[in-house]
Amino acid sequence: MNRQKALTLPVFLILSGAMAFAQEAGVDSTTGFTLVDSPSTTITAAERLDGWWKLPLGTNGSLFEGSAHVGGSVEIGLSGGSSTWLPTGDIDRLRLALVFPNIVPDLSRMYVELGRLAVKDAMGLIVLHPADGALIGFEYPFIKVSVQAGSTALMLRNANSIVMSLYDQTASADATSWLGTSRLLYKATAEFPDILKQSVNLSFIAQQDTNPASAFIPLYTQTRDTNDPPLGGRLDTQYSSIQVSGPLIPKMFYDAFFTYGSGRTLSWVTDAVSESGYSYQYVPISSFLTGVSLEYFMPALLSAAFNFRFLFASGDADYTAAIEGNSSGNGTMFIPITSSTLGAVFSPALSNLMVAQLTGSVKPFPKERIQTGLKLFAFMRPTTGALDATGLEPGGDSPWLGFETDVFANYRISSDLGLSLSTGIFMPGEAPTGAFTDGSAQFSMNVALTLGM
Amino acid sequence: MRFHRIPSALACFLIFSGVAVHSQSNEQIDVLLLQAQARFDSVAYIVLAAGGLIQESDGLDVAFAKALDLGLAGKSSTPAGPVRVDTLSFMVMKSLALKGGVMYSIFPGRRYAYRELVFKKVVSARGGPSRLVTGEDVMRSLGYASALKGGTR
Repeated sequence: MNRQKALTLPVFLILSGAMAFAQEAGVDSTTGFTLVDSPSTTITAAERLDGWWKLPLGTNGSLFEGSAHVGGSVEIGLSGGSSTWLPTGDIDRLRLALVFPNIVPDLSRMYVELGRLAVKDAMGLIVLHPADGALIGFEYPFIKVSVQAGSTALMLRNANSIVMSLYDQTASADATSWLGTSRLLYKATAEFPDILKQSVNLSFIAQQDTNPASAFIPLYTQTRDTNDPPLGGRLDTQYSSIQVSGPLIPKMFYDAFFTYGSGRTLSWVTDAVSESGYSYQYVPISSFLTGVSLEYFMPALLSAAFNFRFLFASGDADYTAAIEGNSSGNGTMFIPITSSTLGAVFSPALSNLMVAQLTGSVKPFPKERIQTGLKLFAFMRPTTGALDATGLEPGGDSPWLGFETDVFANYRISSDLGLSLSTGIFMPGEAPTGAFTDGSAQFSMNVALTLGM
Repeated sequence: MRFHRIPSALACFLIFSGVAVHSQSNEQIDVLLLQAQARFDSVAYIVLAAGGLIQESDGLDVAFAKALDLGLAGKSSTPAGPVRVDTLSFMVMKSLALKGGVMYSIFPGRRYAYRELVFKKVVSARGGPSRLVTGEDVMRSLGYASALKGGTR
C-alpha cells in the first residue's frame, strides 16, 4: 500500500497538469448489456467512462496524450440469483511522444515515446497490453526498427489481463490486492521496404515473470503441491515472428505469419533422485503459432468485404491443465501473453487450438454508417491435451471442438453516438465424435451504446 | 486572379465545390488564400457569405460584427487576429446550418463543432483544435462542408 500511496501524488500532479494544458479532452460513455448462456445463464450490465486528452507539441507529430477509464459491471446469474459487482478503472495510456525528423542524413525520422504505452504484436494475437516504459524507433529508407520495454507492475488488478500462470490466476482473483501480476514486456521490430508490393516484418517479443519468488514452488520440490489456490512457477516466454503480407490480385490481400515460441515452464516431471520419483523442474518451451488470412473486397456490392482466416496454435498431449499443466518432456503448448477474442461465445486462449474463420460484412444502406456481418467458426484441437475450455470429456480423444455462428451490426448514428450488437451461437461437438461432454447449444448477445461527450 | 499560387487540385476543387460566393467576393478569396495565418475578418466574411448570413456587398467590418453577434468570436477576438480550427468549425457549422451530433445539438459550440467536422473529414485533426488555420485551410474546409451539405460528399 505504501508504494501505491507514494505513487498517487505524482500521478495526480502529472494528470492535473496535462489536463490543465490539454487542447482537447473528452469523455466517452459506453453502456452495455450482455446475455450469456454458456453454460449457465447470466446477464451483465456495464457502464464505462473513458476520459482522454491530447496536447500536441508542435506540428511534427510530437504530443502528450493520455486516457483512463473507470467503470463497473454487475453480473446476475439467472439460475442461482447471485450477483457480482466488478469495479474497474486505471490509466490506459500516458504517452509522451517526441518526433525528430531528419536529424541526420538517411534517418528520415526518429521517435521516442515514454509513459504507459500499448505493447502489441503485428498480428494482435500474442500480446495487447499496456506497460509502463519506453519505446525508441528509427525510420531509414531501407528499414524501420523499433525497440520497446515496459512493466505491468503498476497496473491495477482489474485492468491487468495477463493470465499465463497459476500465480497470475491467483493474483487476478485476489480482492485484497490493488495490483495485478508483474511482468516485464520487451518488443523489437524490423520492417523492410515492400518488394513487389509484398511487405516483410520481423519481430521479437519477450515477457519476463517478475513476481516475488515467495509466490512460487521452489525448484526440485519433491511433493506434489496441494495448496488452495494452487502454487506454480515462473513463466518466462519469448516469441520470434516473421510476417509477410500484400496484394495477391486486385482487391484481394493476404497475410501470413509464423511465430516460434520459446521459454520455460515449471513442470511436475520424473526425477531419478527424488524419493517420490517426481519433482518440480523448469523445462524448455518449444511451440509455435501460425496463420494465414485472405481478404477480398467488393466495393460495388454494398461495400462487401470477406475474410478467411486459419490459425494453428500448437498444443501438448501431456498437458493435464490449460495453465502450467506440463507433465512430461518439453512444453510444446503455445502460450500467448494476452488472449484474443475469437467467437462471441467460444473464445479460448490460442493454445492447443485450430480455428478456421470466415467473415463477411456489408454496408446495407449507403447513406447510413451501418455495417452488418456474419462470422462462421470451426474449432479443433491439434492434440488431446488440455486447453482453455470447460466441459471437455475426460479422456476424450476427438479433435472436434465445435462450430459457431455470430451475427454483428455496428451503427454510427452520429459523430458521437454509436450502437453495436453482436450475438452468437456455439454448437459444441459432443463425445464421442466431439470433445465436449454436453453438446447443448450455447449463446450470447451483447448490446452496447457509446456516447462521446 | 491569383489561382496560380495555389495547387491546381485546390483550384479545381474551388471551382466545382459549389461555394456560394461569387464576383465581388473573389477578391476576398484571393486575399484570404494569400494569408499564411488567416485573419478573423477575412474568414468571417467568406464563411458567413457562403451561408448567406451576410451579403456579398458587405465589408469585412460587417462580417466581423456579425460573427461577434452570432457568438462565433470571443470578446477578445480582433479583426486582424488569427482563427483556431475549432472556431472555424463552429463558424462553418453555424453558417451552413449543418446538423451535428447529440452533444452539438445540446451544447452548440466550438468543441463539438470541431469534433463533428473532424469526424466528417471537413477539417484535419492534426495539431489539435487550437491549430491556427491558413487561408487555404479555410477554403478547403468550406468547400468540403458545402459538398457535405449538398449531399455530394
